[in-house]
Amino acid sequence: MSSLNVFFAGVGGQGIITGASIIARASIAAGLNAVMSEVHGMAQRGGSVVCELRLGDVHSPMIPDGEADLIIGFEPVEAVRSLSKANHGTVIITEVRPIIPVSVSLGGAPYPAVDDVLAYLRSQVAAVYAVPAAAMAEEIGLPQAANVILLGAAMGTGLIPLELETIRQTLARTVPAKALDANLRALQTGFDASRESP
Amino acid sequence: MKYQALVDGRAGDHELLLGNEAAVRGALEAGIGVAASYPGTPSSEIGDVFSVVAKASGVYFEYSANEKVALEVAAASAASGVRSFTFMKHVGLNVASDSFMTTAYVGTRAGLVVLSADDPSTHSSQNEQDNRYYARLANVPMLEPASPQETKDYMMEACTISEKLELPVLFRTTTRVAHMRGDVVFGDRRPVVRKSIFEKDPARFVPVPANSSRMHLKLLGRLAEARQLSETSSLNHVVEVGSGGKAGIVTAGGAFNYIVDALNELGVSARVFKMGLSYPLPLDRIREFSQEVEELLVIEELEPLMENDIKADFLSHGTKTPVLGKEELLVPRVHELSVDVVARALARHFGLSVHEPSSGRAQPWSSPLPSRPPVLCPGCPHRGSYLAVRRAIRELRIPEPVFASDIGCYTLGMAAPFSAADYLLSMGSSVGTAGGFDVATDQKVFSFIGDSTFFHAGLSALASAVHNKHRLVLTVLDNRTTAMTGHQPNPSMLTDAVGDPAPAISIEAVARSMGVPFVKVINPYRVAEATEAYKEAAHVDGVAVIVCKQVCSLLLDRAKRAKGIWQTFQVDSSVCTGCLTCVNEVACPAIFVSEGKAVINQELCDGCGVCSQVCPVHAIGVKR
Repeated sequence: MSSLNVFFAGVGGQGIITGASIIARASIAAGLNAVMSEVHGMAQRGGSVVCELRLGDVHSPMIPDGEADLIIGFEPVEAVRSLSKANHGTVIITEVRPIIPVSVSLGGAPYPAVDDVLAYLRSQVAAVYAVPAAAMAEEIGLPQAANVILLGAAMGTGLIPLELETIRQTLARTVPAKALDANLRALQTGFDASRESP
Repeated sequence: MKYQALVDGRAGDHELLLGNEAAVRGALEAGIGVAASYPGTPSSEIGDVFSVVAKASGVYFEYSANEKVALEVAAASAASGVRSFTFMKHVGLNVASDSFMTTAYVGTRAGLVVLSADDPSTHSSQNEQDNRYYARLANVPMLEPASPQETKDYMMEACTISEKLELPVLFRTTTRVAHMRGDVVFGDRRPVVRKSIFEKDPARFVPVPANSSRMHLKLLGRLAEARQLSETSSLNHVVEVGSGGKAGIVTAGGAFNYIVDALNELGVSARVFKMGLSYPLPLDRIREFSQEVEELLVIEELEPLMENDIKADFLSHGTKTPVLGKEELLVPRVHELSVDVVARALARHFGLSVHEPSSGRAQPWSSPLPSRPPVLCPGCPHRGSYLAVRRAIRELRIPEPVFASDIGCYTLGMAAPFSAADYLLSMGSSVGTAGGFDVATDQKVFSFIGDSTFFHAGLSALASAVHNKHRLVLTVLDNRTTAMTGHQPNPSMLTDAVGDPAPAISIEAVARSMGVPFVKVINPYRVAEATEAYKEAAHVDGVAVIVCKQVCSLLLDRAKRAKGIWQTFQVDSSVCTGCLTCVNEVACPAIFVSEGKAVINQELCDGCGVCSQVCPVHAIGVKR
């Protein structure tokens, strides 16, 4: 069984499914099987959400524990929460900007310092790319394209067996024409952010 | 048009589709003419897609007031010769079950497909009941796809079987099949038959006692035919994993995927008998299959249904091959399966150790992480409603009020600080259960129901409450949509499922016409006014209905952004005393605490202004 397992973790409404679908679609266009599992419904209301993507010769759309090759965290604590899917060889890409859950304000467990989160992730997996995707997206003038920046960063790691051009072509078929240029810039920005070792 | 490919796609085309999207393409390929549903996750996206494609593909689609009505629309349409499709979440079939049971008696002329999307592990449901029981209860055949491709393909199969047997077919998916995305290769579209003629046949379609006893006998005859179909169907077939496997595994639906991956992971060869037409089971073929293997493992999600059928059959035929199921393999009877769960069970059975990642597993974060359960969105009007109720209760010093909740986003009011859900059963239960609390206690009862849920199952319960003089304050959280499942329309709205103009039914007018003595419509964004309304309602000796009318903030935000109207609120830190009333009473995801004072996250704030109305020192205002 050879497959590449990509685990996406974030908060409802961050465009996680869209990001994962672009890789899946590009993969199928390139002749590589892709299956995904998504969370819809109640959890989307600001709750933790995950999306699982598997490329290659597999049936189950869900990634077994400890078997993620790549984890894309759309929020630092959600990246940590997904460690049950990681092994010491996993690569993690994570957004650095926290989204503080209401539970913290209401006296629940405190939100850990982001530096501590990154240090812990680095102690557990092979490589961690900390990507300020939200800030980068704002800089490009397309704040909703943070997911595409993270997608670019995923491609930059070289783990996903697809050409960046295939992703570009898929984006062209997926996003509205007027937003395509900004999305392509976002993709490249993310790609450049993770091309070199962290 | 989004989903254009589902309408125009030709045989051989392929698309990356969600299971639920694939169901629609399957329905179009099967020439379904009528589709009806009530939204419910994990089936909701089927309706979302029909809303977009129905007109372009010549299909009639409606959101009915509830699943029972949806099934009745589909059943009568199929009895008239039009292939029909109704789909719902698993508990929706409970609502539809009264009519569903009898559709098996009266049968159908054109294909009638009843899709039930089950939710093992209760990702978005109140229970994880196993609806495969319904096939057995109603004596109808059942199909269980394992992937988006099969979901599409089985729709045509379902119509064919339904017409051959003149029976409805139960089409059972689960969350992980409905919400699995994968490559789907299209087939040809059969022309849609949208209209036909209903040919009367009362002896067949009117199950008065004299007819129904005969119908039951006929049904059992058809079930025997279904069994023969199952024995020969290509949907039930053996998949060789590895080579020379001595163990046989029987499975159906999404569990098949976990089994194949788990076997590959463990490096174990086995012969997997995959059931696509899983009721009635092809027991003759399973018996023959058992002769070719040393043992038969039955691996299924939730209840041991196939296992029990097979064990009983083997016992009565004296078949000696050992059958191992839930108890023997320690496969849990609760929650969904996964590659991990199946691999552990198989490893235990074959005396192997489970596969470990070569580099070792990462260790979890040692201290508790901040929890992130789903919450009411920033600007959610329900927040204002719950805040007002809580304030009214506090001001009137009502001891131990009971909150009877219902199914919708507003169930999230269960969390602190509102703690506004004490009891919940099902759609519409807030109204009926309020009556029970009223007659059995002296506690004041506050019920909460959404606009869509009100029309789904609240109407008859409200009539009952008024007539039986129950005392309750019923809040109808009228956010002008069916929010939880993805913003589908409901009977209080001016447009229907396909976007055409439709008569809107006024909730307050309905309540008044039922003789509710106190009916008030309020805007939950106006906290003081809403609180006063609740104080007044709490004194009513009977049913009081408060309609909290304010559009869902997700829809309002979309409209405001489109029009370029956007404002947010901010805290003036020089005025804020750090009392945190806003945090503790409003609990908005946009408000957080920094250095002892409240701060509003400008990215999340949607400008509803509720927090500014509770600040005792007026430190919160519109950001200039």
